[in-house]
This record gives sequence, C-alpha cells and structure tokens, in this order.
Amino acid sequence: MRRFLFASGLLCAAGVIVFWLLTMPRTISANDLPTGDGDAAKGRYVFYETGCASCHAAPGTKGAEKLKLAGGLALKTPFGTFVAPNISPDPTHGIGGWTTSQFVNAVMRGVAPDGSHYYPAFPYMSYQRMKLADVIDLKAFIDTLPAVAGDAPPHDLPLPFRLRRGLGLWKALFMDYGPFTPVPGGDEVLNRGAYLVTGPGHCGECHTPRNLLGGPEAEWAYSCGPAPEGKGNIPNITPHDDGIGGWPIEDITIALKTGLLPEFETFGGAMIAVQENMAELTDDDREAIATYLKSLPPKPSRWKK
Amino acid sequence: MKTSRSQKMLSAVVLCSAVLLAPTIAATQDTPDAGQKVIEARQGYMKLVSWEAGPLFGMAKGEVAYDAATATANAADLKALSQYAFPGLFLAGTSKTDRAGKTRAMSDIWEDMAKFEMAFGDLGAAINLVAAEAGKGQTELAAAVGELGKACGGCHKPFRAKDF
Repeated sequence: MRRFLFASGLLCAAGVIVFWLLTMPRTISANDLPTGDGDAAKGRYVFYETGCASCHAAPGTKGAEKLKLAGGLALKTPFGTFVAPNISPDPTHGIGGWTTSQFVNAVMRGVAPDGSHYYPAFPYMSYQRMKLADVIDLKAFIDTLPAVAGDAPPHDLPLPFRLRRGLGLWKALFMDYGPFTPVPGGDEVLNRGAYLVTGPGHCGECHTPRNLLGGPEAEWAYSCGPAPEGKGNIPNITPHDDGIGGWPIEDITIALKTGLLPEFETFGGAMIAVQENMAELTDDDREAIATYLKSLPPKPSRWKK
Repeated sequence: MKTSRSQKMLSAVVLCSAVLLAPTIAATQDTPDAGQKVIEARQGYMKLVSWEAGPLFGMAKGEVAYDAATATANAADLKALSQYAFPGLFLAGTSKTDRAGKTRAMSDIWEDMAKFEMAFGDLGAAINLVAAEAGKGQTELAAAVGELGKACGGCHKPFRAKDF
C-alpha cells in the first residue's frame, strides 16, 4: 500500500513537472528586438492592418471614438465569453508603461508581462507572423492614443478553461513560432497579400473553422466558420463556387474598399468593422489581399446556409 | 350519301364539345396561371430596380465615372419604383417551397409578412436618401449607396434563397 502511494505520488509529481515544462511561456528575448523607438506614423497603418479597434474599442463606438481602446467587446465562443481588455496607454487600467519587449511578446507570443498566457481569442496565432519592426511601430502609435481609465469586465469562462497555464499546451499544439514564410514561387503582390492575410489581417481566425480544442482545421482553411452568435455562417473566402470563385480580383478589392459586394450586396455583422479597417489600407494592399485569397485552394463550405 | 339526322346530331355534339373543351385543354398545357404570372411580374420589378441601381453602385464603387445627371435620374426612377406596393406581388402559394425552380422567394416571407413589409419600407427610406444625395457628388452618393446596399440585404439576406 505504501509503495503504491509512493509510486502514484511520484507519478503525479512527474506529471506536474512535465505539465509545467510544456506550458512554459516562450517569449522573444529583448536582445533580439531591433533597437530604436517605433515610428508612430507607420504604426497607424499597422493599427489598421491588425484591426485592433475592432475588438478593443468600446462596443458601439464609431469614427474617432474608436481610437479610445477601452475594451469591453464580448466575444462569445464555445469556450465561454471573452471580453477584450483596455489597451489604451493608461498606466493603471491599460498598457501604459509597458516596455517594447512586453508589448511584442503580448502580440506575437500571447504572453502577458507577468508571464501568464493570453487566451487565443486574442489572435496571436496569426500575429506571430508579423514583422517585429511593424509591431514596434504599432506600440509607438498606440502610445499616442488617449488614455482611458476603467477596466473592462473579466472573461466569463467555465471552470476548466480558467486555468491559463493550460494554454501552454494549446500553444504547443497550434503555434509554430515561426516568422512569415513567403509562398514558393509567389511574386511580390501575392506574398504581400499572403503576409497581410495570414499575419496582421488574421482572416483565418474567423474564416477557418476550429476543432474541439479550438485549433484551426487546416483542411478547411478559409472555407467558412460557425457563426459566433449562432445565426448563419461566416462566409467562405476561397475561390470555390461556395465562396468567392465567381468574383474577379477587382471586385474583391473594391469590396474591401467600399463595403459594396457584387450583386448589390454589402458586408454585414462583424465584417463591417473589418472593412472599415481595410478601407484605411492602400489600393495596392487591398489588391494584394484579393490576389492571395483568389490563389487559395478552393474548398467547399462545410456548412451551407 | 345523305347524313341521317342522328349523324348530324352526333356531329353537332362533338363539334360543340370540342369548341367548349378546347380552352380547358389548352389551359392544362403550358399557359401560366396567376401564380406564375405574379412571380414573373415581381422578377420584372426587381430587374427594373437592378437596371436603375446598377449604375449608382458602379459610381459608388468607382467602377464607372460619376455623373450627377445620370445619378439623379436613376435615383428618381428608383423613387418611383419604391412607391409601388411590391409586397402585394407575394401571393399565397408562390414561395420557393410551392414553386421550386421558379422563384427564390422563401416561405419565411409569408411566415412573417410584417417583417417583410417593414424591410421594404426600409428600402424606401434608403432610396429617399439616395435621391437626396445623388446629385451632390461621388462621395455623398457613395455613402448613400452604402445604406442602399444594406437595405437590399435587409430583404435578400433573410428572404431570398441562394438558388432557384
């Protein structure tokens, strides 16, 4: 009996140690960061590439009010409801006073300054592919925005998902920690589009469905997603008939710029905010996004309307 | 050979029957009934809307050069169309469920006719906005057309099926 207890105790301890090691946060060292301050003017453009305001601005705000990154937007998922936090430069309630290294690791590694993991509702799985210089510029821009006092409400998650340490396992499964890899044989336009879509644009976070563990299902990439609120589906953006197959690149580019789709349709729901961000990009970048989307492997929609 | 009286009677009966039955027989062939006619009528209405709205969307998207006169004229035509009692063209028994392959009108329309009529009212409001803004300039037109697009979707998204 004593040997049994001793053996199982040892096994438990070993399990905890293995868990602890597997879930250790992997960060970018401050030594690996380019020196110098970020460029806030360039950072403004990155702000729209990444779409920070779509989640972090207070819900319902429009126009210039969207630069007040007070947080509060609730994102309902199968894992519970996540609430976007305050990321204004407020030193108490936001990210005022964060070092460049802390900001980079938050955005690209999903690691908080205290070493805990962020939930992947924050799309660091995509942002991990961004250029370091762009993320540093982004911080410089956010530092110029108004400081907003007040905390957003906490996440509302069932008990098992409240253990942040466990997210280290999620990351071990689904993060590749790699920089953006160019498409083999792709030209400059295609690769710019590939970078924007798979990196800061984080399109796949909504448009690629997820498995039970909340990781992306690569074989259905960009072909649809279950609607977060339960009605309808997130559309297919692969060049299949179920998706954007019939749309020329020009139509997609115009749609991203104006919100007007072919056949008198418009973007709806969460895509309205995304399009408002896309409208701030250059024509070339919108065309690059459209080019990349049209180059994706066409996939049927798993869920039809 | 002279026909007998009974043969004359029989011929008369046959001839009269044929004359009387012909329309009925013809009707069971491909002549459209009221349901089919009203489906075609409402599709025609939508074609007019599309004809007028198309250039406006083109100007809003920058695909076509903005022209104040054309924009104003098309918007005025849309306004005229918006006065038509379009929901009245949705007769019972003409949904996609009833007439598969002929129409994309989903049965949801009849399940919530009040919502359908309200959506059509919203279209009228959006068309009024376009009519007010059309002549002012490309930017003003584009903003109004954005609202018009949302109003189009206000019916098409809940009530129009993807295919026939």
